[in-house]
Amino acid sequence: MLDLLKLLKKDEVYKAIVPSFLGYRYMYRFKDLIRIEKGKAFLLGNEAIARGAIEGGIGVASAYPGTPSSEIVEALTTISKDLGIYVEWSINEKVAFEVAFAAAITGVRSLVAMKHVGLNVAADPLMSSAYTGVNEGFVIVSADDPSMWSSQNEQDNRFYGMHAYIPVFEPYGPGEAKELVKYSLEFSSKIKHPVIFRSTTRISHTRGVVDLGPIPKSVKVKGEFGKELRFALVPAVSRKNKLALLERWRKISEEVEHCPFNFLEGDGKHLIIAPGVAYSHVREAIQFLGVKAKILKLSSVYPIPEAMLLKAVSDVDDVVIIEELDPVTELQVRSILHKKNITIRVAGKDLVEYPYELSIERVVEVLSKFYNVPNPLLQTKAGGTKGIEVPARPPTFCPGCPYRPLFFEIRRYINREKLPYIASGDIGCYALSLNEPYKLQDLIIEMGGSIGLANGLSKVTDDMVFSFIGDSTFFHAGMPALANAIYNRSPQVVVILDNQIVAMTGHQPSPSTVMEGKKAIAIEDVVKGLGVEFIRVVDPFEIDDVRRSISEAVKYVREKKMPAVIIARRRCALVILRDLRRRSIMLEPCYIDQEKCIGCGTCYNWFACPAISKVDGSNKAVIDPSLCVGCGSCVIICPVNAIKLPKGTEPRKLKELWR
Amino acid sequence: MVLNIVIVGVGGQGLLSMAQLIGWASVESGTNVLVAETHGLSQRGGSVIVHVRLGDASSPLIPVGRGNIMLALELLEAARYVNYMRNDGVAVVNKKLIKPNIPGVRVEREENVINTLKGTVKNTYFIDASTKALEEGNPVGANMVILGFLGNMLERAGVLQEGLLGKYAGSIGRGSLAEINSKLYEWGYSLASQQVSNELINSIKSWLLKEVP
Repeated sequence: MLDLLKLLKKDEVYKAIVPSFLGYRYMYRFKDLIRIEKGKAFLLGNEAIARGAIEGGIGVASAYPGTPSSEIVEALTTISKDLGIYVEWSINEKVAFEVAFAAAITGVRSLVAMKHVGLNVAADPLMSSAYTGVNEGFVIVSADDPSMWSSQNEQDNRFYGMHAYIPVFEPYGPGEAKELVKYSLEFSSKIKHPVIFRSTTRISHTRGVVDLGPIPKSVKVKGEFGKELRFALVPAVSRKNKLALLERWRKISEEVEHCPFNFLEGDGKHLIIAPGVAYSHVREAIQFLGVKAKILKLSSVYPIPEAMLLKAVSDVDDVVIIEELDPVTELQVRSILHKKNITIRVAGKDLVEYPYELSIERVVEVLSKFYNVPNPLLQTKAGGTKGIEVPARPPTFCPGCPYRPLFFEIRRYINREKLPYIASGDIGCYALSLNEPYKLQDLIIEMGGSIGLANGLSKVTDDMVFSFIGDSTFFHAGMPALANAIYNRSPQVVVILDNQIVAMTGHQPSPSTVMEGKKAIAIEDVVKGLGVEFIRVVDPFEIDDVRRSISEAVKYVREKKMPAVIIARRRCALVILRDLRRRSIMLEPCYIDQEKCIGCGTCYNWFACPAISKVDGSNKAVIDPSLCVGCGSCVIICPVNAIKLPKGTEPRKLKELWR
Repeated sequence: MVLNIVIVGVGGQGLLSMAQLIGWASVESGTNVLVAETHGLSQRGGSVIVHVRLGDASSPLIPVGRGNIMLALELLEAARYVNYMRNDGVAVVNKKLIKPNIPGVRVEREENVINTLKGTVKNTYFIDASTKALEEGNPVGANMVILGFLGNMLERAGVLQEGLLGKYAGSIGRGSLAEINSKLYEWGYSLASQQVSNELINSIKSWLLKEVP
């Protein structure tokens, strides 16, 4: 082995575990590791969390998918049969919470995972769970999204801990995440109290080296419910529970003093406090600056260990808190120091700005000011270019996406009719129709918000209100809103985009997904059951049907002042492509007959498939064969029939393959 | 002792697979690695950057101006993120321009983009990876070509064990697709063995000796 290779090694026994065990396969998946109990594996942060949960002996796990949390329970679904544990994708975060909480109060260890805004949906049972406590370990994973890479806000869910009297733990990287989940389960089990495990995008979606540990041979998957009175939260019970809760909180505050994931390192006259992921940036930042520092690294981010903090500040001149998003640590530090009459300079949010995720650059800048030393890093912002203009590249519908022809046709209908409208949007891939040329998401607020907001919009405006909502989002929070729309007679055209999967987060099942062992629910049955009278099911590739249905729905809504529902059903293109690949089928790309093309731009300006672009120096269109998936959805939209299926492809045959 | 690799391109071009393969091969070679991925909304044909850090890194993100190697699957994305690179770094760029999917979008001429990249990063290699991939029968196989190029450099620099990354690359896909991928990897690998000088390999080695990148 070469010397340089040694330099990069973390330690001498650094050896991955893979090929010797797995034989023929060079790469491994999460589930290949369940019989491996030591050594190093290369795992996604979310897989590390899942691994920690099974090493920690969970019997139940549940979740509703949401970036950046989805891969946790996705990984667990792949091993649930082998380990004999129960894992489910629930209909929303509240129900997922209730499933896992029910396990924990009957003595079965459990984990529930969701994205940060999902915890808002589950906040009702969350608050109550602190009052009842649990009988076995119960970990609530909240995957927060600083910088809003895939979210509507960047709320800091450490506040939920404060709000609900629930301790919050947070790792600094994937390797620690695995150990900390295990510890959190033990902690919860010991105190008999729920625990929030907070991750962030940079932990959940970072792949790193993780030390594997043993998985318990057998875990408890069946519990017993003792019918204790504390679980029936009527006022008299809750009042009593509150006192028990405060007693548990006292124990929790003591217990975090012994949390091995909080520690002090280094020395010097300046103390840097670094909770969670901040520690990973701070460690490198002080190398860039070449400064000495004492670091208080925290993983119990609420409550923080008071005695440990007091020891850490006892021999320093000043303190700087490097913390992502809100001053949750700072509030606690200042409160403790104030209580103890310690007057020492404390810097925090006055130096580290509130918004967005931390980076080495940000931390170096703050510490260079704090230490009053020069900043060795470039002062340019990420994403800039020297000399030339680089246009933005917003995400868009994939080639073959059923939503493209749907929004294309609805946009064309609205333009032709000059219809005054409001497009009430929702959370899912279809939110991408916000952009040009479709522009059919005037509002995107929260899960289920499309129909919910339309209930109000249709009462206070005279515009035609369209609500666009996906199948999974409809089951998640759209059903109560639609029931409201029926009962309160709120006129709107509801378009349910049923691609029969949760596409945006990586294809988890939705209740409309037909799969073995599940009872799929037909959305038209639900809608009919709620009392909707106008229901149409259309294939979005058949744009003539789409136009007819929309036109009829608009007429119905105008006349009857009641909601009409159109279900646009076609499977996600990525799922179809995956199925085709499994059958070793690769479809040929479509092409444009350059003789016939009149350069009207309908395909590249209005249909806007990434595979179609304008030829440089002319208005004609061309299809990029490396991007086209051969779905054929563009053929019908060309006014002069210049878009052609590949030679030798029968339209009927293609319809059978691409469905 | 950190080597920073910036992987950029358009969502769907197989950037995450590249990063994952580099990660696997590194761990198997005994090297610590962190890979910061982009998921969810940002994947759907949008601009994507993946940070790969080999060695003693603790932060998953590469600081601006500190990238040692850029692997770019698309020209505009290479230009967008070029400020992540050190001036003395290496950029391996797929000679493929994908216009952003915006009606009426204005795009810089290909030569201008190439010249900007050449003027910013000292060692640039432009490869017709997409063309080759299409010829060989995997329209999205450009990532394998670029990966092969990297594999050759990192093996010669002593960062990866010989043959490991190639084996991993050849295990992607079913049946004939895996063979095509393997072929594309080998093509990229051989390009680097012809084009990348020993002098540059020595520079890569010297970067590894530094405390901070």
